[in-house]
Amino acid sequence: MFGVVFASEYLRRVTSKAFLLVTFLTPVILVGSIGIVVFFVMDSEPDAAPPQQRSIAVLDAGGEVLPALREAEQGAGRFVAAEEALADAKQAVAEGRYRALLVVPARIADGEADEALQVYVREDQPLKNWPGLRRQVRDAVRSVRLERYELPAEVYAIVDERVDVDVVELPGTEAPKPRSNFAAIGTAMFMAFGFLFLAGVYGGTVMQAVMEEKSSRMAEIVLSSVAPFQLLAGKVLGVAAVAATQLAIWLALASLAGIVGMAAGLFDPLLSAASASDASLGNEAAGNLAGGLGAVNGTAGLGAIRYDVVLTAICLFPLGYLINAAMFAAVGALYESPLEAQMSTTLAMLPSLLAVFVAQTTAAAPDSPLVVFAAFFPFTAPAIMPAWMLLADVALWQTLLSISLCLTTTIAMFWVCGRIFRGSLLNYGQKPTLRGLRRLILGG
Amino acid sequence: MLEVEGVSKRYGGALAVDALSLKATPGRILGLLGPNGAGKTTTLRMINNIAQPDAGTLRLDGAAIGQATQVHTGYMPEERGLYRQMRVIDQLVYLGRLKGLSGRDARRAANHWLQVLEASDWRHKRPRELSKGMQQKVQFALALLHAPRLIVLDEPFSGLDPLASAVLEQAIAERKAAGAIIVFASHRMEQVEQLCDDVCLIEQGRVLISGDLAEVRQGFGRNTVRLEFAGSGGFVEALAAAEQVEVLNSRAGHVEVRLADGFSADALLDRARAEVDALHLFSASYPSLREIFLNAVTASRSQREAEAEGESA
Repeated sequence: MFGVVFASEYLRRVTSKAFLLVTFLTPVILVGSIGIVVFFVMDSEPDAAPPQQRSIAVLDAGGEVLPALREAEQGAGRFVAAEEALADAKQAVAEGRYRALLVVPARIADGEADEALQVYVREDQPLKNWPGLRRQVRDAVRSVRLERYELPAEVYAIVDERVDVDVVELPGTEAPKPRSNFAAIGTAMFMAFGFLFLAGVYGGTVMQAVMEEKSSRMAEIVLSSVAPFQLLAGKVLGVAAVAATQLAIWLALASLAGIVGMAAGLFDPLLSAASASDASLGNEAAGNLAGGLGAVNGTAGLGAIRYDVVLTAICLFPLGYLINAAMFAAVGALYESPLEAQMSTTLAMLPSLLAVFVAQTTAAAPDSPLVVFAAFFPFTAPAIMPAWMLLADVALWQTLLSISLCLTTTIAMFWVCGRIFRGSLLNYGQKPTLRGLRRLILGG
Repeated sequence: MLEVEGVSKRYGGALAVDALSLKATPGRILGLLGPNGAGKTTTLRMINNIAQPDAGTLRLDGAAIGQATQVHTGYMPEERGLYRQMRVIDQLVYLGRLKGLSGRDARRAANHWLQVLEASDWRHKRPRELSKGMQQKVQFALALLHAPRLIVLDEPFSGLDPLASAVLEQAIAERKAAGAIIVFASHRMEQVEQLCDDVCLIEQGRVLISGDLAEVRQGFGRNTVRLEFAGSGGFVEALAAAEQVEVLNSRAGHVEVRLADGFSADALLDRARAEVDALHLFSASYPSLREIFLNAVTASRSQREAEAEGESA
């Protein structure tokens, strides 16, 4: 009978208009929101300004640096020769006709300039907004200097070759330092928000599915055909299957969008922007970013995937969902409408909110008692344990203990929920009390 | 056969059912009667394996009531509804499958019952598009869909018009003829009298009266007299004042009385002939189920109060 409940729950939901609407509208809204943000961000960047405004005027006394700058930016047209004298060019910047004025002193290519290179900007648009400008100018001057000596291309290649520095911490020499912070923060936040999403959206769906039995007065008819535990399991896992389907569709859509976008060259500007910022962020951070959401070995740049972390997450995340779903199902069995259940719903959301809070502090203090506690506490472990594994040396027994605690709690939660389910699903019009709840769970 | 033996059920400190025993046999309808809070719903839930007894046994055709017997029972509870977002046909197929039918058989049975209940046109409608009576027919079909051995109906006719009631009564009669065991709980005594072969009256979780309906009524004697007449009914009031009759029902030109011990039907007939202008009907019969119900419950409560007073004294 579990299979019938499961199939009904799943099919009813995935064939509903609401499911189709949410599944296909969410990516549109998400992409639209990101598009709006990108539009405004790009609008505030020099590239997004009108041609005259986005230009950086260059007063190049030697006449060699400007061509090098233009060559480096491959005709993007950001650097233009200032047609005005210095004072007028400064005035043009002040009036916003140029974004900046770059004054290149004579003989800078010889290394014998009397003064430094100068960049004039408006106060409301300081240079820090353009992190790549200094590097671009330095590179241009450097290339002009090197060309003077007509060096073969191989020399350029050798000079340009990246120098990687691997830092290896000797165990036991000092207090462990956070490793791979970027990946760990990303992992922790992704897991925590994923957890919150699961609790908020799918936990709420489980609650409504259970509540529907009660509010529609079908509970008694259904319970005359199926055991309460089977009904509970069918509903919880049916909704889990809906969640998996929805996530799979989103993943497929994202992949499709990625492939189409790449093919159409839509992401080129973004990728070049990312590569420029990668250089300024530093190799490690760039490596972690490219490595994705979790399992990156920070000591090796673009490191290998940490399969132990992935495996732990795969074990813990479904358990976390089941614990949450059982809590929401119990709330659904106790009340007849979401309005009545508001306070209890908030209580059921607390563990996932705690996980988000702890996730934010994980990177800053990976060995703090709060993080260690959250890595083992079954209600937060699915979100925190994988991130903690990236930040600290977590022994295998600790991981297994965390998984075991989650598994035990899942079983206990289902037992408790089953008791509440059996006892309260047929109580109409009665507000649950703590005493009544205790009686439902412990009997008597 | 459904056998309930010495079953008790307690909720917290309250004893809902107290060592209750009853039997329902194939091809007969058992009427389960009782005032509100008597323990009827708890008993029906235990029969349907929704609630578990603290003591006693429940058996269907010799097998202990449990998950295995659930596929052989059809239940129409008093608190009933339908899934709001699901079409009628889907609800029937879902419940049919929960009762062990294959998808195809459930659909076939659903279509059959919708036709029997004159509800085929609602197949693709959702509950919000149906009237209360229409919904009730669908709920009735949910209980009978899988041709159950035991059918438990709690107030199946409440809110139905006579036409719809007749359709349901016909369906119940057909299932009875097919040898199903039927338990029928209701407060509508005339319907119980009309439909049931056996009755079981419970109060405070205990059985007060049970057995074959005709035998139960005969056990109370042929001491109920119904008169229809033209003229003054003042003689009835005089007889009641003299405690020779008890008035059960009275309106202009119609009266129903119970004879006191020592006062015969013949004496009443003589008195009526002498007093009224014209006597249209004089019928001595067994007491109605309603009368039996009221008497039994009142007597039980009086006895309990007396016992409580005795204990407190």
